[in-house]
Amino acid sequence: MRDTEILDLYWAREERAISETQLSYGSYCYSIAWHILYDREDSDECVNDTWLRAWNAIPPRRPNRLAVFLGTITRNLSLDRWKEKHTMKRGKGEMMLALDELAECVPDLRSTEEEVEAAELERMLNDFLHTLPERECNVFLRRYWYVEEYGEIARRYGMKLNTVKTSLFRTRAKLREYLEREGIIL
Amino acid sequence: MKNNGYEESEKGMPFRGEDRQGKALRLMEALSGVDEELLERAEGGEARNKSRWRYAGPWAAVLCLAVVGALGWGGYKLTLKVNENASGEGMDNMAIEIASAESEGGAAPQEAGTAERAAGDTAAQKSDDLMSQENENGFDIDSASDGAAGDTMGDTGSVQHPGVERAPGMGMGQENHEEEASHEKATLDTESCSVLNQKELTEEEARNQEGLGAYIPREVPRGYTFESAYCNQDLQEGNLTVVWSRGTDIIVWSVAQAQEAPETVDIGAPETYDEYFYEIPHGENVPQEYRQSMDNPTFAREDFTMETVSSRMLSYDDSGDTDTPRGNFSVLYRDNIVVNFNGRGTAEEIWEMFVSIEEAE
Repeated sequence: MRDTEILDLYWAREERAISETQLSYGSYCYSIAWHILYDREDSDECVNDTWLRAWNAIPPRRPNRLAVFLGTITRNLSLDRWKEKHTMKRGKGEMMLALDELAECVPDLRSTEEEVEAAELERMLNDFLHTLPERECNVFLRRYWYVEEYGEIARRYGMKLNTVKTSLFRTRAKLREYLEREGIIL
Repeated sequence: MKNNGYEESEKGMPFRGEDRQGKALRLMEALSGVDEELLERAEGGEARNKSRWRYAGPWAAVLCLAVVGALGWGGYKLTLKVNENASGEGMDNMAIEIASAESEGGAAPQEAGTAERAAGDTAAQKSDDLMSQENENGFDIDSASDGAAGDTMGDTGSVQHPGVERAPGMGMGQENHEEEASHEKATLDTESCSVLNQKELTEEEARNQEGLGAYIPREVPRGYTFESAYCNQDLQEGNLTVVWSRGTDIIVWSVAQAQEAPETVDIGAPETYDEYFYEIPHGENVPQEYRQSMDNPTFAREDFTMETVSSRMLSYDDSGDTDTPRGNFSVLYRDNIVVNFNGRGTAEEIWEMFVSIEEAE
């Protein structure tokens, strides 16, 4: 079923919208949740919660890209679930590794206690990503948005494993420099 | 750009590890607001890589049709020509050739008679005669019709049968006996081949097989339906195979209780099993010592992870083929139970199949 038809079902408040969404995007959302949580039950719950969120949000919303819309909900729910479960302990899977890597981008400034507003940070990250070459940006998003393993990214783009690692290393360095230049304090 | 129905307020949930990693988590969360077009672009990686091959399938189909059409047209023209010959002097020439060839070779009277009659008959009649007569002599019909098409042996003066060598000067009577013997021998050889002794099962019966049935996955990838199940009764070791299909995709799932535990690969040495470790063609790039394990690695159950499955599932840009990843490998469970997977699906789907076994266990 096409996205527009699924959205029509939501707008008509037909419960079949959920099953059709599950059919079209179940695997996609599960994959996002799985990469973050590495737990089948939690991933299932996040995906089910995603359908509920979507049901509550549409209408009034009518997303242009249903996949991204649903994926983002799943991702956010999964991140929250991950925080609940791993407040201080180290877990399995790619999430801890991805966070360790991303910590390299955190500017090392101590002089201020101000926090950057989330919206401002999002805007800056977007600006930064738009400055990257397409392939580099894609690899960065596959790693830190989808939390995919290096191997998966390499396969997706037909790259060598080391090329993926090198690309990510360089992008993190650029991001750190960018955030520092912009005076971002996290 | 603002993304979804997700409540912003929930994104600021406290995270006690507010160290560098906690800050990294904030970056991670902020990435949720990435522009949709960037995400969509990142999603399309595979498709772009395949763009070169996007039209390969249709073009292959067109080429196939062209070849079939050309062959068909050629065959049609040939038939017309044969018919034309048959109705005119060509047929006479053919009959004369056959007659002279047979007389030179001392052919049996029956064959000579056939040739004489053929001189005034149509090609179809001649063909029928040859077929019926040779059939009476114990020849097979296909070979006889070959002869009718004008396949004569000028040197030996006889109709040549494929697969039968004839000594120079050998008469047709001898030849017939020789061929009959050969035919009988071929029949005996075929009969002496052992027939695979396998017991067909329903899916339910397969699942209920004592011991091995527990290793048939409770879950199969979406769209797959049961096709067949059987156990090979000639094998000493217990075995069970189930096949599912989804269009042209297929999964063959075999379970066997080995007498000795097969050697498992070292999970820390991806060069021995990871499909992505080597460039295609593997025949040229995989070192000799790893070829066996690369061909069908066996993983110990404790080493077996989703990542392992991913390392064995590979999509190919074969024209005309589906892009479902395909792969094969085995997993060694307790009591030397070996589960062999060979088929198609995403790594996650295949992993789920194995997870459903573990749950059953």
